[in-house]
Amino acid sequence: MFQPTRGGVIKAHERDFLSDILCLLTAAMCLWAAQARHGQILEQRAVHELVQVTPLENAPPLVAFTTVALGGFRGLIADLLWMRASRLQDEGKYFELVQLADWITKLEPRFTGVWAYHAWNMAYNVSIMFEDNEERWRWVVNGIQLLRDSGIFYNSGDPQLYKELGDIYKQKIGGITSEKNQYFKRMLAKEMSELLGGGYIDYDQLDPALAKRMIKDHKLDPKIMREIDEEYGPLDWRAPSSHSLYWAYRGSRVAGPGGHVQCDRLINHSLIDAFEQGRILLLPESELVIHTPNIDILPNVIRAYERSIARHENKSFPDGFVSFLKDAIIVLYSFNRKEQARETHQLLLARNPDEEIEKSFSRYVYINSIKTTRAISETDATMYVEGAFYKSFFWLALGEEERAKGYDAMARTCWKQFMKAKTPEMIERMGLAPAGELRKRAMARAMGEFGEPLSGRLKLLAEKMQAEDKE
Amino acid sequence: MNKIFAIAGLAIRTAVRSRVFIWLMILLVSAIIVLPLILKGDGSAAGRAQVLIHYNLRIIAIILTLATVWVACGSVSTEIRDRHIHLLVTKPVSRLQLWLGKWFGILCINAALLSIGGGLTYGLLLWETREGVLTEEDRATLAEEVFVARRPFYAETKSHDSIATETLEALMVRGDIPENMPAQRAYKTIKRFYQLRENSVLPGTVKEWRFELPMNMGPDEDVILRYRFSSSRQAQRRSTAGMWTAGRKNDLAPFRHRHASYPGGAHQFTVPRAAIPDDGVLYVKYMNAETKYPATVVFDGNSAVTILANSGSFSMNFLRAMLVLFIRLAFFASLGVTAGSLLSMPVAVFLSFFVLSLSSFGDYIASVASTGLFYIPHHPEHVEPTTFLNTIAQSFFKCMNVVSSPLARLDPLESLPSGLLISWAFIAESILFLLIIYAGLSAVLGVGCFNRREVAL
Repeated sequence: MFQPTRGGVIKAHERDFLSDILCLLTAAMCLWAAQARHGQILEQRAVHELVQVTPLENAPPLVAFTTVALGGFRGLIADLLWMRASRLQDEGKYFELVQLADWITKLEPRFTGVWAYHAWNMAYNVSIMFEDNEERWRWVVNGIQLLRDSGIFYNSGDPQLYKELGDIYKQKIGGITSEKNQYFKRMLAKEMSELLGGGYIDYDQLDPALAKRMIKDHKLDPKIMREIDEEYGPLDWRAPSSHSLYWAYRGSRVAGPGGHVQCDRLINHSLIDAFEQGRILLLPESELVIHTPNIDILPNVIRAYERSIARHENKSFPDGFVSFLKDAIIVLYSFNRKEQARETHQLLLARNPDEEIEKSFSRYVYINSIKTTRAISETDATMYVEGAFYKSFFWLALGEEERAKGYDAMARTCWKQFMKAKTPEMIERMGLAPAGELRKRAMARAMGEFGEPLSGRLKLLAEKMQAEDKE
Repeated sequence: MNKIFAIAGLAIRTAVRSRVFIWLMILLVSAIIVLPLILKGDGSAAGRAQVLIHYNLRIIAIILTLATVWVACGSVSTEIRDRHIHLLVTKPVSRLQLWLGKWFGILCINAALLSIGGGLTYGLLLWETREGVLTEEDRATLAEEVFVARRPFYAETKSHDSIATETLEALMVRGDIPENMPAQRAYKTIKRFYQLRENSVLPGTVKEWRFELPMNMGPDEDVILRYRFSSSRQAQRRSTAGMWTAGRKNDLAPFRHRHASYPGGAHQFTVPRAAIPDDGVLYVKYMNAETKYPATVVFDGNSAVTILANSGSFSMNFLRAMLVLFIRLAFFASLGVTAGSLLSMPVAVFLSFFVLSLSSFGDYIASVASTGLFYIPHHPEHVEPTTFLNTIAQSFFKCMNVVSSPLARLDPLESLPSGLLISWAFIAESILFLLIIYAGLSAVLGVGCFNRREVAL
């Protein structure tokens, strides 16, 4: 086909080529015009409240594409995937659940509840279906990773997700409800030891490569960790309580100056855990991981509670504070921090003028150590005193001398308190054996029951003590 | 027969010329290579292999099914539209031969592409799980959990039909069945009551199952006992301690397994070969041994307790899975050719995709068919709580369920990754339903109508 022109003819394919170029140019101009107006259109949408949620800003292309291109259909696809996930879980076919959870959450990336549900489902519901420790731990990690690596990444401004993640660390790993909790604690401690080379961090000497790895692999930002350590620490980062505190702290921070009730509550609960069992003792000779109190952080816990009480009009905060102080006195006493325990007792009395709390410090320790205000029998008292001596030897064998002294003092205080109220006739009839005798019995039991390496260490210490006694 | 082959050859040549074959091959190979890079397993080597098997074969099946439907719909309808059919129908070729030729041509393309896709997947699987990549322990787990073909054995179940009928009659005589409750509904409720009573294990009591396993089991062939249960403490998420024993009828001493398991999911343990009697009749007992938080345990349904015994190799199982996938493709090809013979291309594609979607939404269809669109809780004063819309919807979904349930059920990819056997009986069932009944009915309809269709307009 030919067409007349000024100089002759243009072949059909040449004409097609020209029109193609023209179309491409037009398309390019339209595209340019659209992108030029895009920002304004988005602003106008926000001004006139035409969108329910703000668009995803940090989503990778695939997620951005699915959320925009699929439109309303993504809800339908998410439903179908969810039905499949439920069916597979019911049939015990768990291998696909991580993939399905990933797709479902990516289809609804701004739906906080979906992230929280799938993480919780994997960490709690699926993990318990496995007998093997390793497999259970893997599912707990899968739940953590879903929230930590993706959920919070897409919803970095939602404090609820931080709280959910912190809860997994606090309850699933740090709690005692799971029968495998000791294994979980050991795995977390091992993972953090390998990463940090110990439990505590020297931020001034932190290797930049390590800092990068902490952020990339564990989403632990050394800057925020430092802030936490300065405000509440020093913390042992091998303990689950440090991690629940970290995520709750981040959640509270993104919530703004007013804080977030649930995150702030989790901060306080994590601090209580850190105070009561936030220090890790790893025995190199065995797989044993021992959680001991981190009593140095007491002033920080008190400060955190006082701030929460001032920030939130919620009765659970002052109630929790009182409950914490009551326990803290006994913990401090067991660490031979008698003066600090006495001050905490005073603080407890000052904060609770109405509540009936034992005013005498020694009596308070006695009552709260044996966990009853009623008179106890000679058998129960013997059991308690000998038990406290036994604990003292346990901590001595672990090299925790202050704590050993604390339990020793506690045993002696209870012995004295029990014997104080007795007349000589009563002592004759139902008095306790001398404290030294009870201590020897506890030592003999400890030597027989502690396995190696603790019994070996205790034997050496006992010999040393005997030598010192002779001198 | 030569005529059919000639038309099939023509269909293949057209497909190759139109680059459908090449593009499909590129798409398949790309999917097989790219998919493993974006897939997430559960963190274990076995989980990774299972996800790889399932998703790679699933994507192959999806691509081939969509392409098959498209090509099949176009194979006749576009020839009619472009009037190329005139060249064929003027030759001594019957419409049946034309239909079969087109169908057979598409099957040949499918066979080639499925072989390539399946072969690549199998190769990739071997490559990803080779020595040096995985630890010996992981490889052993894979060999035990994934690269196996285990046949499930179910316990003998007791029928409750007669006792349910007798009870219903007695209750009706006494007037204990409400007047507005249909007899069928009352019967179902009574039967369900007896089933649950039979399958419940109260604290401290025992339930026994009888399994007939093969008599010729090898000396090292341990079996797996898989069980699922619900508990009266399910909402509290408490584990229930139980004692499993297995052996002869009156001698269950050979094997004991004590375990506290959580309700709601599947659990399993290995029963050693030594515990299985030579006659293959294995008795399994469960004692509800929970004392701290006593709870009633219910093993509901035939598959609540299953014995899985090794039965052949994984490679043969893989091949059988490919065969079933091919049979499914054959059905969709027949559907497409029939739709294309009767309708224009867009309408034929639309109709075929509707049937295809039935097989994809099998779970949803089955659930609506059984409960209706809305769940209406039972109320004693309103024995038949329902709405008009719900009744209509439920009836419609029941009809769809009849068609879709074999399509959903005869899916080899639900069994293969879990190491479950795809038996020859399963293949026979696939051939019967998908090839003989579904594809046959489709062919009869297609050829019958095609014979009456005027194509020389």
